[in-house]
Amino acid sequence: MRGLIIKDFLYLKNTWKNLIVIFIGSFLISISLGNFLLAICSLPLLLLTSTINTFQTDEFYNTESYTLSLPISRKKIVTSRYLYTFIMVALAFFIGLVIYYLIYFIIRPNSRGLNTDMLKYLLMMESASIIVNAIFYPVIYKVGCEKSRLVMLSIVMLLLGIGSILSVYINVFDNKYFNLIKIINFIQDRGVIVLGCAVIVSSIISYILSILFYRHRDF
Amino acid sequence: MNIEITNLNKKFTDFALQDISINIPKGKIVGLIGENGAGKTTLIKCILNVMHKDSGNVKLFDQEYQDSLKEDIGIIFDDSFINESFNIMDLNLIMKNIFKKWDSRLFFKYIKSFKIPKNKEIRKLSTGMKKKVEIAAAISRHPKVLILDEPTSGLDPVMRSEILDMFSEFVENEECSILLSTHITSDLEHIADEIIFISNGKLIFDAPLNEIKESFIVLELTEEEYQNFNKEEIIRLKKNRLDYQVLINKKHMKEEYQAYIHNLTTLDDIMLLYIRGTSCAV
Repeated sequence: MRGLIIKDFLYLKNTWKNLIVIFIGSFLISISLGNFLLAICSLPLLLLTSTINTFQTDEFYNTESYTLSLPISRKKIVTSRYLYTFIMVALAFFIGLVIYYLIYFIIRPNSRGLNTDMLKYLLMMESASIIVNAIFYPVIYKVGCEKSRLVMLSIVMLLLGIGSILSVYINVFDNKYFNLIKIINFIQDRGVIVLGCAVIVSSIISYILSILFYRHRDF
Repeated sequence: MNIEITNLNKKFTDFALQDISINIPKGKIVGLIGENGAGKTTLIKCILNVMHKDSGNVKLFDQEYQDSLKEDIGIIFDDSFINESFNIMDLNLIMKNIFKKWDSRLFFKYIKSFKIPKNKEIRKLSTGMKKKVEIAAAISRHPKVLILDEPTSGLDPVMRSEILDMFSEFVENEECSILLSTHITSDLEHIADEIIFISNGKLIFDAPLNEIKESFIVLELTEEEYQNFNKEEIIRLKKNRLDYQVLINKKHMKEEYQAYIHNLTTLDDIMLLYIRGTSCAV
């Protein structure tokens, strides 16, 4: 399992030059805008999105068959990808934090350009990224990386379509049993708890589904 | 036995592996032959659980299949390996964290003898070099079995011969064996002990190479010769534009048939007649 995690990290090693260039670009944009949110969040965001790229790279090089021929169970293969993702989430947060404090101590921008809200945004971005990955991973394990985007788009469009019909014609989101505004307010009031719960629940469900799907997949 | 497969079945919408039972004994090189799409890669993938079998049984090293038993199997797939943006050092780092018996010294010994640069990305190596890296990676884990799917395809004869020598050396240890799937049947004629022939998902024969060579012979007959030939002796027949090719059992060979032998019978000839030929309706 450790070997597979190292494999994914080595993929990152080969992209570090691009990551640095993107960070420099976003840093320059931040200076010109007088707002450092982009500089703080760009590198962590790239690291988080790179976790999905590992699937893509494996598919490109047909590595899946080779991986399955190794003396590692399918469950451990899935677990190693989830562990890699969580290590990346931690790493991305740490890097975001380091960039934040570097900017804070070296550039010393005014309070409008740098404040603690930015750390909150960083945390929210991380959580959102975990939830997106949690939705994507089982779909990738079920249909493969290439098809997964189309499948995801289909699911989102279908849900939006059903949601629109339910809200416009049946008015299901605004009645005494189901009040969407109240739900949104509840989420806003308890943002951290709700997001934390969503991250944990979605990750657990995602992991279980991924194992189930991957167990039955042929390559 | 190193690998024992009994009544293996795997069905797709347009193809099925049907009731395959084969053995890979210790100390032998077993050639797996068949046309494109015959089911060779599917069979290999079913052995390794890369693909799920519908029914049947796979035993590795006299034990029921378990993922951990693949520690003793070295694999080379035709089109599948580790990310080619890695270099030799990366590959060594990954492998030593996957295989308990990974031997970095042996791996680098092979890499050095193949004159492969350690820091060059694998994708920048030639086809032959890449294949050698795969072979080095497969052998450096000290496996008992090598399963090789088209390991010499796309290689020139010199490199093929070098690689085949490595395989012969590998089975000098009598505990080790090789399952070698290839289209280049001439390679097998030099090193294989046994041949498994699969066509359209079915096992046609599984026999020692010597036995096959002693059992079959291909004759080439003109129209007139064919008309006078005893049709009962023909196993498979193929009509060409100018002649007939017939596969017969050597035990039916007669003195007068010597004139119909124009070339040495090869595995290719036998395979071709089984796949493209027809049985002779008497």
